[in-house]
Amino acid sequence: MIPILIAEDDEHIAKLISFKLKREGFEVEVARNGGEAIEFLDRKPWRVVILDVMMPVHDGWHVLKTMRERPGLEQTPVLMLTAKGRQKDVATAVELGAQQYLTKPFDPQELSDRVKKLAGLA
Amino acid sequence: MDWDGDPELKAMRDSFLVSLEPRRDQLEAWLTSLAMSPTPDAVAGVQYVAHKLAGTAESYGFATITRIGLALDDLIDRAGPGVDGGLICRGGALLSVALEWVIARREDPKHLVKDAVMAELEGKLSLLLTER
Repeated sequence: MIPILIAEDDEHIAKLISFKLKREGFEVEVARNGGEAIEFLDRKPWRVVILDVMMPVHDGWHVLKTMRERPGLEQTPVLMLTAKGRQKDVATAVELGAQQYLTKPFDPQELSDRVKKLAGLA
Repeated sequence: MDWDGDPELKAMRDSFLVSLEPRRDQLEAWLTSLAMSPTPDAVAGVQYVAHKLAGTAESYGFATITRIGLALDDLIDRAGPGVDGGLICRGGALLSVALEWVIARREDPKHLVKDAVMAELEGKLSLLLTER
C-alpha cells in the first residue's frame, strides 16, 4: 500500500482525510502537530505528505522547509492545507516547494483526487 | 458523502456534532465578554472559534456554518483594531444560533443565509474589500 503522511492538529479534519484516503487504498499515518510530523518523516518512504499550515509545536512551513533540507525528501510531493482567503499562504506554499495546496474547507473527494495525482496514480 | 448510510462516516459526523456544543459554549462566553468589554482578547476569542469552524464545518456538510464563520473571521481580520464590536456581537450571535440549529437538528441551517445579520456581515465585508 502507498504510504501517506498527514500532519493536521484538528482531529475532525484528520479523521476525514484519513477515512477518505484509506477507503481509496492508501496507508495513512497522522501526526498531530509539526513536531510529530518531523519525527515521522523518517518512518516510511512517504509517497505524499499532507501538511496543515497552522499547527502546534512547528507550523507547516517549518515542516516543509525541514523536508526540503533533508536528503531523500527534497522531491517528496507535498500538499499544503491553507485557510481560505489567505493568499499569502498560497504564495508561501509555492515558494517553499509544495506541489499543491488546498484551501479549507475542502471537498474530501477533491483532496483524494489531488493526492492520487501527486502519488502518480492519476 | 453518504453521512447516514456509511456507519464509519456517521460516527465521524456524530463526533463532529458533539464537538460543536463546547465550541458554542466557548463562543457564547467570548460574546458575553465582548458585550461587557470589547477587548482585543474577546475579539480574538470570537475570531478563533469562527476561524476553526469556517475551516471544518463545510467538509462535514454544514456549509452555512462555514459561510458565517468565514464572514466573521474575514471581517475581523480586515477591519483590524477598529473593528465594530457591535457587528461582531451580532455576527457571533448568528453563528451561535446556527450552531444551536445544527446541534438540535443535525442539518445545515440554510435559511439563515437570508438573515439580515448575515447580509450585514457580508455587506460590511464587501465594503471593506472595496475600500482596500
